[in-house]
Amino acid sequence: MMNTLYKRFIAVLLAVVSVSLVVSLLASNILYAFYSKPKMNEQMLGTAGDLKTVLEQDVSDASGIPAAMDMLDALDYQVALISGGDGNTTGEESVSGGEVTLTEGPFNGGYAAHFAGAPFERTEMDLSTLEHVLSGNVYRGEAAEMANWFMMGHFMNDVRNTVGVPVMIDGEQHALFIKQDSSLMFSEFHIILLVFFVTAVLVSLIFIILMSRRLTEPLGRLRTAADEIRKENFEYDIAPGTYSRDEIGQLAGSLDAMKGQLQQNHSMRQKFISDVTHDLQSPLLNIQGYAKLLEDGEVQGDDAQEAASVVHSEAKRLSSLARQLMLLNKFDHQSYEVKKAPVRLDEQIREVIRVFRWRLDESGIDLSYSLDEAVIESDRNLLWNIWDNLVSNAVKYSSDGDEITVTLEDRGTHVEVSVRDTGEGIRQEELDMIFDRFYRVDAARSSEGSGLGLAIVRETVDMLGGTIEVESTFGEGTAFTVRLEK
Amino acid sequence: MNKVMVVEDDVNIRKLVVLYLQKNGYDVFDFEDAGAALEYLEDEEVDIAVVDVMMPGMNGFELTEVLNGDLEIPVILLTAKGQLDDKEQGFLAGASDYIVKPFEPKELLFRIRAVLKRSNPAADTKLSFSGVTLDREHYEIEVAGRTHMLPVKELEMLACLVERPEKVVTREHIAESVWGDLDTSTFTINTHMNRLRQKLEKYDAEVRILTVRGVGYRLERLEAETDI
Repeated sequence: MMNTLYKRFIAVLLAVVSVSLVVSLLASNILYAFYSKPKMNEQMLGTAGDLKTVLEQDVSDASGIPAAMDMLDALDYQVALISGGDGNTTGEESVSGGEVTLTEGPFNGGYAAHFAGAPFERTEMDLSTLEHVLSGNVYRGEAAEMANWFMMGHFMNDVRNTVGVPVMIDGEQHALFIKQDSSLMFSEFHIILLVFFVTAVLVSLIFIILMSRRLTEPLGRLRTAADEIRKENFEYDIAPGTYSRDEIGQLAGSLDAMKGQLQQNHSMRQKFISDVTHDLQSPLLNIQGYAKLLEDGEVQGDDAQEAASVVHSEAKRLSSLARQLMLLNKFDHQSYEVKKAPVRLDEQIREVIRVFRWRLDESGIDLSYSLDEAVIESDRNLLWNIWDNLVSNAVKYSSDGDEITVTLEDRGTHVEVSVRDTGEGIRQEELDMIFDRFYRVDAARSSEGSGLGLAIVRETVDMLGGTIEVESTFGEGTAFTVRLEK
Repeated sequence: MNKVMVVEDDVNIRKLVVLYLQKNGYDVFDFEDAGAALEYLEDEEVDIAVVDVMMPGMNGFELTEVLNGDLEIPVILLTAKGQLDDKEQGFLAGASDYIVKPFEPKELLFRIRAVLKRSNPAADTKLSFSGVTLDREHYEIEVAGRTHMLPVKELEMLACLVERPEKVVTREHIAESVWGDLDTSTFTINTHMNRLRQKLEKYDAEVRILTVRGVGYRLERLEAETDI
């Protein structure tokens, strides 16, 4: 994955560089055509004007022309001086004749050309252009205009790519075409341009590669980190601080937070499993041991009775543990969907209390209740669990002569349900822990509980968006108060 | 003797239930599925049925519909899931009560007794005297807007007194209707009566139980303090 991303990244950036090169080339050509070229033409026309003056003053007749041309050789200009053999009589009429090829000496019947400086590569010229200048006008290289759209046109070694001025020598009209000799400049300029291009491309390539590395390298590290987390290697140090402070850094941070959460879940699960195993193991061992005693007939009479009741109560503990675990499992997977519907709370609580009726019968515990009529929008099953656990808890920690009081009060916007007992009570330092899973107050004394009941109550109340409070005085009793929105 | 039908496919649970019920004086007929139970009912009658929800073939809910709907036999359902969904479906099918497995045999006995009492229209389930209301079905009394649960014996004793308020109720009558045994010792009856008395006082009930020496007890309206 990283490989293709890396490659794609380079490809995209290369494309960007090429496109920008083309666009900038176009832009500079436009600048050249509309600004630089006219300016250069004006300069050349200035030079042509100077030459014209010199020629007109120093060359008295046509025989002096070759000497003058030799002199012009020394300049960095390509020069063509053309005389029209017939004078300008051919004029505009013969213009339609198209092109003529300029050659040293007479050509095309009546014309004669003299060259100076580097020879032109292409010497074809429109007859009209020639006549245009011969009849006393200035030529500004219009015929080469199309080519000038491209900067390289500047270097076109063409006689059309010149400026032309009329020169009067010995009473005869001549046409002087000049062009800067760019062959020297051309190569220099070209090399500089080439170096510019190559350097630009090379430098950007290097930067592109470096940047791609920089961008894809942390992704590779993140992938390694994710792999390690998948293998539950929570010791792996993601070190989000070593990443850049951008989206990738944020991703590293999130990954690190996720690792923390997973690690916590993992250790919670480990603890949960070891707790459950322990809580399964001890009643099973008791059952095994006592059942064996009974089976072997080693205990008799009251002792046998005792052994059987141990087996009984331990089995009961196991079954309550299994039931509670099933519930917790439901909550843990968040698969439990809270189904809200109107619930007649007083009726439900009365029903729950009546389930305990048979257990209270001979216990000597005095249970009373007073319930306001109340309807709340909530989940029947979850509510049932809360009351069931709270009442069962109160019964568990009460004995003969104790009182349990259940009240439901309608407080307008919310309802308040409290379950108080005058039972054993909970020590202050233990109050904070009673809602923890597998926490049992004085585990040795109360073998009946699974240690999950109050944890379930707390989680259930949370799921329903309510609150639960506990008040207790050791030796005097406990009161749980649940508040639920209507 | 009440006839109880037990329909349960798990042989161990069935044995256990049958054993407990027989020990407690019920005439028990057990079946491992709905088919066998219905076959038996073609010629015989029972007073109450204890039915497991999860059974192969016809399940407990369907059987309940037949038993309660067509034969008017009260049904107590045994449910393994312990979920309210089951319970609601059971009540819809016409079950009188339900018990979540695993249960204590004692709980089952208690419920059978309650359901039988409920289905017996002869007994008045609600009694009232001087602000004290008895609910014999649920073994509760209501005093001054607060409901208290009473042990079965104490409630039945109070019921005997409330049925004949301000009249002497003999010890023999109480022994017979509460314990079903004329030979119940005076000591036992006294102990329970004293407990009941203390509770009524604690609940601020406006009644009191007087002992009529050598005969029995009498329930009286508690006069206002100013009258003394």
